[in-house]
Amino acid sequence: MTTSTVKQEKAGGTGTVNFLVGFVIVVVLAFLARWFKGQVYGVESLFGLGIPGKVLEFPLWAAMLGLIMNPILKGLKVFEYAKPGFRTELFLKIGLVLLGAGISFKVIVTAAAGAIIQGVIMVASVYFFSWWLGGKFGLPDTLRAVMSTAVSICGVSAAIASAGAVLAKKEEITYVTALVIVTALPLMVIAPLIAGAMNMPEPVAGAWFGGNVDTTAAVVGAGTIYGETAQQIASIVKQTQNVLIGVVAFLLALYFTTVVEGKKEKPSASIIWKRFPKFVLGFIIASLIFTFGWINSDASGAIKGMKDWAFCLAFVCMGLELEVAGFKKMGWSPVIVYLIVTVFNTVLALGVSWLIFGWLFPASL
Amino acid sequence: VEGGALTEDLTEQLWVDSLLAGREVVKSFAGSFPHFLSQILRRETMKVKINEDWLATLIAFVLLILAMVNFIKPDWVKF
Repeated sequence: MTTSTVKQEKAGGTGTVNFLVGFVIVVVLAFLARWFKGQVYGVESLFGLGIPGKVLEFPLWAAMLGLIMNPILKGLKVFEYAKPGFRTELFLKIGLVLLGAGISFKVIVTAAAGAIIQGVIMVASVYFFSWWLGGKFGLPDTLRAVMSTAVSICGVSAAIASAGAVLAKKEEITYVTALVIVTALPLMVIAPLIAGAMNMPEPVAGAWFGGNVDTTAAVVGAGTIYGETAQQIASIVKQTQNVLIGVVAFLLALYFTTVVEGKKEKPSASIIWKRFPKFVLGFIIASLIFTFGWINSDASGAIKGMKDWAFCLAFVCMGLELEVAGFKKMGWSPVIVYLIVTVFNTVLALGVSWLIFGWLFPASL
Repeated sequence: VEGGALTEDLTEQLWVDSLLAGREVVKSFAGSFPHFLSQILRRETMKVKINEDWLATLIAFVLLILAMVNFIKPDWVKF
């Protein structure tokens, strides 16, 4: 049993009750986000500034409400009790599988081809740049490994996977996780605005968000704000990149056991399957069901609605789960490294996505 | 008459026993369900990533199938 489980039991109530309380809070906030979106969506000019209400999509409201409620729940001493119900990853994965049921398999195959090329270029370049820069700033190898994986692949899941491979400290994971969310939330809003200002086609914008924004939730959020095609391409690109987690975790474990720790035994390649994001299989099967024409228009409408609800729950949780307490302990050097690498990642992803999705695979989307 | 009353009594007794047995089954299920759910959630808390992936896929497919058989109407889940 883990420490968190023990703490949770000591806090009173069973895991189920804690989950249900947290879940109810998240659902109420999701309803509020939906209400706020409804209030401004039809407005042609917000505050007379010429900004259409449509830009304030639900991911923004949901994350903002989560962020506002985060300190309030902590102040009321309810946060820890309800925490088991704040399940960003679970809600996000449910939404992604449902998203698959609205995308033709042909689009997945075409986009994934570009996404694989983009993923390999981005992951390799950003990983090694981050590793090198972290070394220049004197960061410990374990922190460099966790941070590089998080910024180059997909944020929180990748940080946890790589931390397991290199046996990083718990505070290093917490720290990187907080960094990922702190940078991803503003990017979720800024990236679509920049893409809009550059008049970027939706597939290119989606590929850019997928390659640039660090957490899958924020990628989906940015895509949702920009448009439906952008949301689809962003999700495909990000999931293709996520598939690489297992490979990177294996290579890291191999490097750390043989080079850093000098041991002779090698880690098992089974880690690749262990770290493989299994819900991607669900996403592909759902897409095949859609492609075979087994989903009628009524069902399609219901699935789209449920997908948006699942994403909304995930965005609320993303705001709720932000933890910044660990920043003071680790100092500001890792923050500087992370921010420099994020800028590098953003610029490189912009060029690579234009090249691949604007030039190599433009017509097929 | 006495035989008929006995049969009636026995039928009533049987009915009461069945109700009690049924209530026990429901109570037992209701009692064990939170424990079952708690076990699933506890495993989740232990950061077993594979469970969360499969759990998400399972939930999504249940929702997908319910939508495909028109059990969930688009109006109910309109965002």
